[in-house]
Amino acid sequence: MTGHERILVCDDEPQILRALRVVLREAGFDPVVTSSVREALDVAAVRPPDAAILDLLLPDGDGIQACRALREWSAMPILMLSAVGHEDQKVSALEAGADDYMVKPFSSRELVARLRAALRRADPGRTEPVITVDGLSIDLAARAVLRDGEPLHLTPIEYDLLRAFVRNRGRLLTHRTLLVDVWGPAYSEDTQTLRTHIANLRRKLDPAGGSRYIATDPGIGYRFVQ
Amino acid sequence: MSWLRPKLLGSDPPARWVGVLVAIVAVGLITAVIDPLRHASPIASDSVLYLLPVLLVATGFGLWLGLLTSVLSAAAFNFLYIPPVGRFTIANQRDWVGLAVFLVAAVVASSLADIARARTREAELRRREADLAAEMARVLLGETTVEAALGVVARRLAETLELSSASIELRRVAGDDRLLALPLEAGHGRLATLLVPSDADRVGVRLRDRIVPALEALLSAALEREALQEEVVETHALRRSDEIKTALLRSVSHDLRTPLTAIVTAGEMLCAPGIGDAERAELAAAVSAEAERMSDLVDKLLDLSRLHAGAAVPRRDWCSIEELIDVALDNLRGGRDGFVLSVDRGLPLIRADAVQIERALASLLENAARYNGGHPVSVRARAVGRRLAIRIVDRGPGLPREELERIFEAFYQGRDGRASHNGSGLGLAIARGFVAANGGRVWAESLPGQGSTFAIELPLDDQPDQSRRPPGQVEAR
Repeated sequence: MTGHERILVCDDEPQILRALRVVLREAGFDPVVTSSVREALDVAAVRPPDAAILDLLLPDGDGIQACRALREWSAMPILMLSAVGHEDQKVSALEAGADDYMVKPFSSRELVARLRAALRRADPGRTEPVITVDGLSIDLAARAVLRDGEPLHLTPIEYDLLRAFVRNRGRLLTHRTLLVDVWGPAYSEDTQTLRTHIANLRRKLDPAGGSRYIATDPGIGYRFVQ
Repeated sequence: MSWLRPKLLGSDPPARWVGVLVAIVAVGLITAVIDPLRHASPIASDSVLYLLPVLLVATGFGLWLGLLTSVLSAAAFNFLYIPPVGRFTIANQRDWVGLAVFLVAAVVASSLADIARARTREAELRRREADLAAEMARVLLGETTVEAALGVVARRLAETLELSSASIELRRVAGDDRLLALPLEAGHGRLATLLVPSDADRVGVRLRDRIVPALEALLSAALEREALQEEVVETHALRRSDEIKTALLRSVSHDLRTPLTAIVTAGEMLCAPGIGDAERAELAAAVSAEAERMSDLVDKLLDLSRLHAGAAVPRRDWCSIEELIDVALDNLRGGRDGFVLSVDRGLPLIRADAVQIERALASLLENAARYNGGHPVSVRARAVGRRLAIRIVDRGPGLPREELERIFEAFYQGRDGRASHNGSGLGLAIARGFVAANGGRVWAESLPGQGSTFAIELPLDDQPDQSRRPPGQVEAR
């Protein structure tokens, strides 16, 4: 990250735009605020931002549309804002290419943290053959996983799951994304299989069980810790 | 002659050949009895004895066999005792008169006995019909729904009328070759149709004149009663929803205004020139905390209104209760310390809405944390038969028996003012609503002074189809 990244914000609530502008400026970003899908896409086309924060419901369309349109030509991190309870829309947004979502009302501190994480992932200069997280070291080149220096024996499926997670550290992956990535498109609905293998993988990564490395987002998917 | 009733006065007339046999045997017996008596009394008066078999047969087998017995008696008496003995002729004029008098007496006795027999039979039938009417009334007015009672009523009706079958349908049904359709009507139109086999014609008069009117009256009363009951339930539900709305307004005006007041005041004060940095930070923290509290309450009000509107349709998918308990604990405002987890490994997956179950668990855990009395709260989950059982056990003050159910009512404020513990009084209602929407149930158990247990049961029906599952192992890529 270079600092002063340009962040495109799109929301139709003036008060939220005003608050976000202050929050982002205080965090060292350069916010550009828009209040409709068209305006957001125009602004993005003229001078591509480094990341975007889009509201799910906008006066002239929805954030999912905008997200899809941006993904046509850009890999920039995209965060969605949504109200409580719209699980289907959250899943759709994530599958349309959004990196993450935040439920309104959200804490500004958390928003900035998620945005920073997304920008870090998107950093093209980042090449990490070995990823180390909280006592766990994953060597993608050598296909080796060590916990506290001890090698872990994972089944090929568990390894593929872990690889999908660490490649998208901090990013919320939907059930379908994981199933398609690891098992293939024919198995995109087999959530019960996914649950079983996630449970096994969690147990191997942390014998105490629990969600130390892999967090659950009920009804949506999973996220690997940063 | 009550001993005759079961066999001879039954609804089916006894077989004719039995009657003939009884007549012959009885006449023979009397003939044999007269033989020793004829020396003691005038022979003409002994003929009276033959009235016994005549009465017996007429009572038991009807008029025609009674008449046959009369003729048979006259013939036997004439042949064996009226001179000239051994021939069917009569020598003495007086004997002619005697025999004629006997025959007339026998015929009259037969007729009277037959009338008595028919009356007794009729009385028996009426008694049974009265029994049937009483039974129909009991069943129709006693069962919870008329629909459920109809089967029993039809079966009893068929038994009483000795029909091979009978059924009652709450709609218009047309008869055919095999079935006779009798409309059951009340003042305002057709109520139902009684279907009996077409051979029921033999009991047609009884059915049409006596049973159908009784059935119509009872059915009409039962249907009316059911409609009234539904209205009562509806009225009750309306009143409940009204109470909830009133409580909601009260809650909104109090619980939402309190944090709002704090936010507005603190927000205004932030701009005041005279305050220092420490005070400013304090005010800002108050704004965040109160806003968070309000957001929490708004979420709960939304959940509750969705549940009340029946709009909380679960998005069911396979989910792991272990994961959901974990998420609920992570999201607890007070953190997960103070909870002791004991979740069986490899618990079967449940098919439920993960978000709703997580909200339910979060509410129950939050409640347990609030009333833990400073002791750890234990959370256990295991599979029991075809159910998943989760028990959240606190060692707090416990609940009196009369509150065990009431605490699940929205906005319920405990006797001891439990709501003062910062709870909205909505969490448990939401928990129960979400669990019920997913086919499970929640209840509380408690012994006052020994803490309380909140139990959740979720169905473990149809487990994932093993054969369709993708391979667990794939070649390393």
